[in-house]
Amino acid sequence: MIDRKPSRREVIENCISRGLLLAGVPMASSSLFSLWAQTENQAHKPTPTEVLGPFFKKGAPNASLLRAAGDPGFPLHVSGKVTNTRGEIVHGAQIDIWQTNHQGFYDLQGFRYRTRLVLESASEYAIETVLPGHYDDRPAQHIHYMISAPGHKPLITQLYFATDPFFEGDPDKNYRKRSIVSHRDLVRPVMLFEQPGAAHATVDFGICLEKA
Amino acid sequence: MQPWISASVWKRPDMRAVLMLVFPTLAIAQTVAGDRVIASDSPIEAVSFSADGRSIAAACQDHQVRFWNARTGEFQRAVAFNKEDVRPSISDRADLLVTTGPDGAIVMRDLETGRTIRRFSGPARAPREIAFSPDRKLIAGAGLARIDGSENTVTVWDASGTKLRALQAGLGGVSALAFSPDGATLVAAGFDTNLRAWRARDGELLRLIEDPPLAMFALAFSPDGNYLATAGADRNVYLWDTKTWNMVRKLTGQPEMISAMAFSPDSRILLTGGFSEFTLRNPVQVVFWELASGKILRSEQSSHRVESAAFSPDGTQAATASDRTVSIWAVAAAAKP
Repeated sequence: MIDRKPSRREVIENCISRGLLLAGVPMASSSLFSLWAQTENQAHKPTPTEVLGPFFKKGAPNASLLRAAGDPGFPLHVSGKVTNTRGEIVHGAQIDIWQTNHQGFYDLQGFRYRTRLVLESASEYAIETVLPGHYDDRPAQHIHYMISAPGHKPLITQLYFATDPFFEGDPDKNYRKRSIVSHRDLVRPVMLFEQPGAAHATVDFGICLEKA
Repeated sequence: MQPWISASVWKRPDMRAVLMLVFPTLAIAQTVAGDRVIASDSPIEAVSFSADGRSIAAACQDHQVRFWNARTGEFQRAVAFNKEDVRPSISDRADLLVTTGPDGAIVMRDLETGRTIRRFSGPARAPREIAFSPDRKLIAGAGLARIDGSENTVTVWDASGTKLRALQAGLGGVSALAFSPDGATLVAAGFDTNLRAWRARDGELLRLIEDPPLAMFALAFSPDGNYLATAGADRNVYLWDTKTWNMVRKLTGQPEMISAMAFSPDSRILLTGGFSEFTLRNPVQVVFWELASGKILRSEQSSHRVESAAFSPDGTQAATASDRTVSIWAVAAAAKP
């Protein structure tokens, strides 16, 4: 039993096994096309959206290293691929990323912990940063994203961390706490690594855009 | 002020708050000649002077609009509004209150009679920002964009509650709204950091200003209509010429982000109030600026985020609201150039 949307191959195989494509009778071609188109467009779920927040700043530099040498805070590596709901890689995406420092403060004077990544042909991004801090108004650690790409709808979202004490060890149960997080899928697992002399955290946060 | 409380102690907002709790009569005590501090039982979201300047009205979180005598600080009356309604906004003459209901409905209440005079459907999500045109013929509302990004709009209604148009604002929603004094122009500041000016009559976009690097949280037109002042996260006040929409002056010196702003009736003085990311812990500043020179005329402390600011119609008094306090400032005595 398939409890997810079937892939294109599965749809075609299913049709063949039922004789639909060969006989072409029991299912009208328009229905078949519509099923195929639906499968094509929704093969992958788009990344849930989130609020923009008041502290977006224009003009951030294109830099993947947000953590300066000697910065306090827990080192964090975030990476992911930008694709669309058809599973295709997205070319020419631009990603604004901004977050607080480890103490929960946004840099409003400069561009610390802010970047505008311009992805050329490769649709993968990676940043080196620190785990953001907590602050009173939104006491869940988060990183803001705003993504645009030719031919796709712009996306505003946020990344949260399953290890955040805010979720009390159970993001499934607690992600709705205080109505901060819009969707469970935005709370991502955090891999912790112990390297000689330093520990760091890694998070995979792939972005899935909808076609315009 | 009681003679046994030293001025230095009284000037500290935290000490003043403690003293006011212990000695309620101090709520109407004076700091400098003409200044007055009025204590409210509930945190305040908006203030406005009455048309005759005799009363100061404050919309409070306990769903009451309280009126005090602006000169003596004596309590006059309270007008209750629906307990489910949020985001109260008082018109500039303190005669109308607009709130939003839990279903997003916009509710207008006459503050003279206390009666609801109109209730009409708002956008799907309750508007966060409301602006009246000076002639009261238009009401504009906008708020945080929906999570799905489908409501990055400013809605304009006529006085009867008929929706006239939806104007396309930027991604992320609207942080502040204002009509020009002649009612001809509507300006919205967006969380995308841009400013948009529309012709109110037909909704034509007059200018998209993309210069500000950070979002503006407060907008105010000078009463003579010559300038639009915007201020927000980057602590500066920007003055825009409303004929060319070019930035003509930047006022610097507010030590924290700016959340509230008001012009004096003669357009010569601008009042700004701040907030910080430590809002509940650190005092912020209330600043009076001389527009012509860009100089700070007076700077005072406020113990909490400044939620709202207003000038009296004759320009001799100004008011700021933060937490449970309305501060009345004697403009003629201390800030007039």
